[in-house]
Amino acid sequence: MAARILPLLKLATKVTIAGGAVYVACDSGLLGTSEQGSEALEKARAAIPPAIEEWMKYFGLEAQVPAIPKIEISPVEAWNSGKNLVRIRIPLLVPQRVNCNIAMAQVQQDFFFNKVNLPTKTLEYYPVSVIISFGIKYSLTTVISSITGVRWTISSLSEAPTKASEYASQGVQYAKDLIK
Amino acid sequence: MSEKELGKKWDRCLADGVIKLGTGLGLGIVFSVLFFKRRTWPISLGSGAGLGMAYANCQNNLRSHYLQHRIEAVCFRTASCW
Repeated sequence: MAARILPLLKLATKVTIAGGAVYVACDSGLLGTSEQGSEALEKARAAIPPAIEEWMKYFGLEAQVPAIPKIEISPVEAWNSGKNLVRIRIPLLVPQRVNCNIAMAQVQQDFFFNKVNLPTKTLEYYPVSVIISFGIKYSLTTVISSITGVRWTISSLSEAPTKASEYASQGVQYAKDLIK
Repeated sequence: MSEKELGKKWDRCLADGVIKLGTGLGLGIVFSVLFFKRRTWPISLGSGAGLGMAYANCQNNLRSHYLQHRIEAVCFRTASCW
Protein backbone atom coordinates (compact mmCIF):
# COMPACT_ATOMS: atom_id res chain seq x y z
CA MET A 1 0.00 0.00 0.00
CA ALA A 2 2.74 2.42 1.00
CA ALA A 3 4.80 1.35 -2.01
CA ARG A 4 1.94 2.44 -4.27
CA ILE A 5 1.15 5.69 -2.50
CA LEU A 6 4.72 6.98 -2.20
CA PRO A 7 5.43 7.45 -5.94
CA LEU A 8 2.02 9.11 -6.35
CA LEU A 9 2.76 11.40 -3.44
CA LYS A 10 6.15 12.22 -4.91
CA LEU A 11 4.59 13.03 -8.30
CA ALA A 12 1.88 15.14 -6.65
CA THR A 13 4.52 17.12 -4.75
CA LYS A 14 6.53 17.75 -7.90
CA VAL A 15 3.45 18.80 -9.85
CA THR A 16 2.46 21.14 -7.01
CA ILE A 17 5.87 22.79 -6.90
CA ALA A 18 6.08 23.14 -10.69
CA GLY A 19 2.51 24.39 -10.93
CA GLY A 20 3.16 26.89 -8.14
CA ALA A 21 6.25 28.21 -9.91
CA VAL A 22 4.33 28.66 -13.18
CA TYR A 23 1.43 30.32 -11.32
CA VAL A 24 3.75 32.77 -9.53
CA ALA A 25 5.46 33.63 -12.82
CA CYS A 26 2.16 34.26 -14.61
CA ASP A 27 0.45 36.04 -11.73
CA SER A 28 3.30 38.48 -11.17
CA GLY A 29 3.22 39.52 -14.84
CA LEU A 30 6.60 38.13 -15.75
CA LEU A 31 5.18 36.26 -18.75
CA GLY A 32 2.75 38.97 -19.81
CA THR A 33 3.20 42.13 -21.83
CA SER A 34 6.28 44.33 -21.68
CA GLU A 35 4.43 46.88 -19.53
CA GLN A 36 3.62 44.21 -16.95
CA GLY A 37 7.25 43.09 -17.01
CA SER A 38 8.41 46.66 -16.40
CA GLU A 39 5.99 46.96 -13.47
CA ALA A 40 7.31 43.71 -11.99
CA LEU A 41 10.85 45.01 -12.41
CA GLU A 42 9.99 48.24 -10.61
CA LYS A 43 8.29 46.32 -7.77
CA ALA A 44 11.37 44.10 -7.40
CA ARG A 45 13.67 47.13 -7.41
CA ALA A 46 11.58 48.70 -4.66
CA ALA A 47 11.28 45.53 -2.59
CA ILE A 48 14.77 44.02 -2.74
CA PRO A 49 16.87 46.60 -0.84
CA PRO A 50 14.60 46.65 2.25
CA ALA A 51 14.51 42.84 2.23
CA ILE A 52 18.31 42.63 2.06
CA GLU A 53 18.64 45.14 4.88
CA GLU A 54 16.14 43.22 7.00
CA TRP A 55 18.00 39.93 6.46
CA MET A 56 21.31 41.59 7.27
CA LYS A 57 19.84 43.00 10.50
CA TYR A 58 18.43 39.60 11.43
CA PHE A 59 21.76 37.84 11.01
CA GLY A 60 23.66 40.68 12.65
CA LEU A 61 25.71 41.52 9.59
CA GLU A 62 24.82 45.20 9.67
CA ALA A 63 27.94 46.24 11.53
CA GLN A 64 30.26 44.14 9.38
CA VAL A 65 29.05 44.96 5.89
CA PRO A 66 28.90 48.60 4.84
CA ALA A 67 25.74 50.04 3.33
CA ILE A 68 25.04 48.95 -0.21
CA PRO A 69 25.90 51.87 -2.48
CA LYS A 70 23.26 52.92 -4.92
CA ILE A 71 24.68 52.29 -8.33
CA GLU A 72 22.91 54.52 -10.78
CA ILE A 73 25.01 54.64 -13.89
CA SER A 74 22.93 56.49 -16.42
CA PRO A 75 24.12 55.85 -19.96
CA VAL A 76 21.51 58.35 -21.13
CA GLU A 77 23.19 61.19 -19.22
CA ALA A 78 26.61 60.08 -20.42
CA TRP A 79 25.39 59.80 -24.01
CA ASN A 80 23.75 63.21 -23.94
CA SER A 81 26.53 64.93 -22.03
CA GLY A 82 28.11 66.17 -25.23
CA LYS A 83 25.06 68.10 -26.41
CA ASN A 84 26.27 71.32 -24.73
CA LEU A 85 29.55 71.02 -26.59
CA VAL A 86 27.64 70.48 -29.81
CA ARG A 87 25.52 73.54 -29.13
CA ILE A 88 28.64 75.65 -28.72
CA ARG A 89 30.35 74.43 -31.88
CA ILE A 90 27.47 74.45 -34.32
CA PRO A 91 26.98 78.25 -34.65
CA LEU A 92 30.32 78.29 -36.44
CA LEU A 93 28.91 75.99 -39.15
CA VAL A 94 25.47 77.56 -39.64
CA PRO A 95 26.62 80.80 -41.34
CA GLN A 96 28.16 78.68 -44.12
CA ARG A 97 24.70 77.38 -45.07
CA VAL A 98 22.82 80.67 -44.99
CA ASN A 99 23.96 81.79 -48.42
CA CYS A 100 23.00 78.50 -50.10
CA ASN A 101 19.50 77.91 -48.79
CA ILE A 102 17.89 80.00 -46.10
CA ALA A 103 15.12 77.49 -45.38
CA MET A 104 17.59 74.67 -45.04
CA ALA A 105 19.70 76.85 -42.76
CA GLN A 106 16.68 77.51 -40.56
CA VAL A 107 15.98 73.78 -40.32
CA GLN A 108 19.59 73.12 -39.47
CA GLN A 109 19.55 75.89 -36.88
CA ASP A 110 16.45 74.42 -35.26
CA PHE A 111 18.03 71.01 -35.41
CA PHE A 112 21.27 72.11 -33.85
CA PHE A 113 19.68 74.21 -31.13
CA ASN A 114 17.48 71.32 -30.02
CA LYS A 115 14.13 72.68 -31.08
CA VAL A 116 13.63 69.35 -32.79
CA ASN A 117 14.80 66.01 -31.50
CA LEU A 118 18.34 65.11 -32.40
CA PRO A 119 18.27 61.77 -34.24
CA THR A 120 21.05 60.03 -32.38
CA LYS A 121 21.23 61.68 -29.01
CA THR A 122 17.88 60.91 -27.49
CA LEU A 123 18.06 57.16 -27.16
CA GLU A 124 17.01 56.11 -23.72
CA TYR A 125 17.40 52.74 -22.13
CA TYR A 126 17.56 51.32 -18.66
CA PRO A 127 20.91 51.54 -16.93
CA VAL A 128 22.82 48.36 -17.65
CA SER A 129 23.85 48.05 -14.01
CA VAL A 130 20.21 47.89 -12.92
CA ILE A 131 19.50 45.03 -15.30
CA ILE A 132 22.62 43.13 -14.25
CA SER A 133 21.92 43.65 -10.56
CA PHE A 134 18.33 42.59 -11.09
CA GLY A 135 19.46 39.39 -12.77
CA ILE A 136 21.89 38.57 -9.97
CA LYS A 137 19.60 39.49 -7.09
CA TYR A 138 16.41 37.97 -8.48
CA SER A 139 16.41 34.71 -6.53
CA LEU A 140 13.33 32.95 -5.24
CA THR A 141 14.30 33.20 -1.55
CA THR A 142 14.82 36.94 -1.73
CA VAL A 143 11.48 37.48 -3.44
CA ILE A 144 9.67 35.28 -0.91
CA SER A 145 11.31 37.05 2.03
CA SER A 146 10.55 40.45 0.59
CA ILE A 147 6.91 39.51 0.20
CA THR A 148 6.31 37.69 3.46
CA GLY A 149 8.90 39.06 5.87
CA VAL A 150 11.89 37.58 7.62
CA ARG A 151 10.14 36.71 10.86
CA TRP A 152 7.31 34.89 9.16
CA THR A 153 9.75 32.91 7.03
CA ILE A 154 11.95 31.83 9.95
CA SER A 155 8.98 30.98 12.18
CA SER A 156 7.36 28.98 9.39
CA LEU A 157 10.56 27.03 8.79
CA SER A 158 10.84 26.23 12.49
CA GLU A 159 7.20 25.18 12.74
CA ALA A 160 7.28 23.19 9.51
CA PRO A 161 8.18 19.75 10.99
CA THR A 162 5.41 19.86 13.63
CA LYS A 163 2.86 21.15 11.11
CA ALA A 164 3.89 18.48 8.61
CA SER A 165 3.46 15.69 11.19
CA GLU A 166 0.06 17.10 12.21
CA TYR A 167 -1.14 17.22 8.60
CA ALA A 168 0.23 13.74 7.96
CA SER A 169 -1.58 12.28 10.97
CA GLN A 170 -4.79 14.05 9.92
CA GLY A 171 -4.40 12.64 6.43
CA VAL A 172 -3.83 9.11 7.75
CA GLN A 173 -6.87 9.41 10.01
CA TYR A 174 -8.97 10.64 7.07
CA ALA A 175 -7.78 7.71 4.94
CA LYS A 176 -8.62 5.27 7.74
CA ASP A 177 -12.10 6.75 8.07
CA LEU A 178 -12.61 6.39 4.31
CA ILE A 179 -11.50 2.74 4.40
CA LYS A 180 -13.92 2.00 7.27
CA MET B 1 6.94 58.05 -33.76
CA SER B 2 9.37 60.43 -32.09
CA GLU B 3 12.88 59.39 -31.20
CA LYS B 4 12.09 59.65 -27.51
CA GLU B 5 9.11 57.32 -27.84
CA LEU B 6 11.18 54.91 -29.93
CA GLY B 7 13.93 54.98 -27.34
CA LYS B 8 11.45 54.17 -24.56
CA LYS B 9 10.08 51.26 -26.60
CA TRP B 10 13.55 49.84 -27.14
CA ASP B 11 14.19 50.40 -23.45
CA ARG B 12 11.12 48.37 -22.58
CA CYS B 13 12.09 45.68 -25.11
CA LEU B 14 15.50 45.25 -23.51
CA ALA B 15 14.12 45.04 -19.98
CA ASP B 16 11.35 42.67 -21.10
CA GLY B 17 13.91 40.46 -22.83
CA VAL B 18 15.99 40.14 -19.69
CA ILE B 19 12.93 39.44 -17.53
CA LYS B 20 11.51 36.79 -19.83
CA LEU B 21 14.90 35.16 -20.36
CA GLY B 22 15.38 34.94 -16.60
CA THR B 23 11.85 33.63 -16.03
CA GLY B 24 12.18 31.03 -18.78
CA LEU B 25 15.54 29.99 -17.42
CA GLY B 26 14.13 29.67 -13.91
CA LEU B 27 11.10 27.65 -14.98
CA GLY B 28 13.33 25.48 -17.18
CA ILE B 29 15.59 24.76 -14.22
CA VAL B 30 12.57 23.88 -12.05
CA PHE B 31 11.16 21.49 -14.62
CA SER B 32 14.56 20.01 -15.38
CA VAL B 33 15.23 19.25 -11.71
CA LEU B 34 11.74 17.97 -10.91
CA PHE B 35 10.75 15.96 -13.97
CA PHE B 36 13.62 15.47 -16.40
CA LYS B 37 16.49 14.25 -14.24
CA ARG B 38 18.56 17.43 -14.53
CA ARG B 39 18.86 17.33 -18.29
CA THR B 40 19.87 20.45 -20.20
CA TRP B 41 17.18 20.62 -22.84
CA PRO B 42 14.32 21.93 -20.60
CA ILE B 43 16.56 24.81 -19.57
CA SER B 44 17.36 25.61 -23.20
CA LEU B 45 13.70 25.28 -24.13
CA GLY B 46 12.58 27.58 -21.34
CA SER B 47 15.21 30.21 -22.14
CA GLY B 48 14.39 30.07 -25.84
CA ALA B 49 10.66 30.31 -25.17
CA GLY B 50 11.22 33.33 -22.92
CA LEU B 51 13.34 35.06 -25.54
CA GLY B 52 10.75 34.29 -28.19
CA MET B 53 7.98 35.78 -26.06
CA ALA B 54 10.06 38.90 -25.52
CA TYR B 55 10.74 39.14 -29.28
CA ALA B 56 7.03 38.83 -30.06
CA ASN B 57 6.15 41.51 -27.49
CA CYS B 58 8.81 43.83 -28.85
CA GLN B 59 7.64 43.31 -32.41
CA ASN B 60 4.04 44.01 -31.39
CA ASN B 61 5.04 47.17 -29.52
CA LEU B 62 7.09 48.57 -32.38
CA ARG B 63 4.39 47.82 -34.95
CA SER B 64 1.48 49.06 -32.83
CA HIS B 65 2.26 52.73 -33.54
CA TYR B 66 1.92 52.29 -37.31
CA LEU B 67 -1.07 49.97 -36.97
CA GLN B 68 -2.91 52.61 -34.93
CA HIS B 69 -2.18 55.28 -37.52
CA ARG B 70 -3.24 52.93 -40.31
CA ILE B 71 -6.58 52.25 -38.57
CA GLU B 72 -7.11 55.98 -38.11
CA ALA B 73 -6.27 56.62 -41.77
CA VAL B 74 -8.71 53.92 -42.95
CA CYS B 75 -11.44 55.30 -40.68
CA PHE B 76 -10.79 58.81 -41.95
CA ARG B 77 -11.03 57.73 -45.56
CA THR B 78 -14.05 55.48 -45.29
CA ALA B 79 -15.90 57.34 -42.49
CA SER B 80 -17.37 54.01 -41.50
CA CYS B 81 -15.85 53.52 -38.10
CA TRP B 82 -18.42 55.43 -36.07
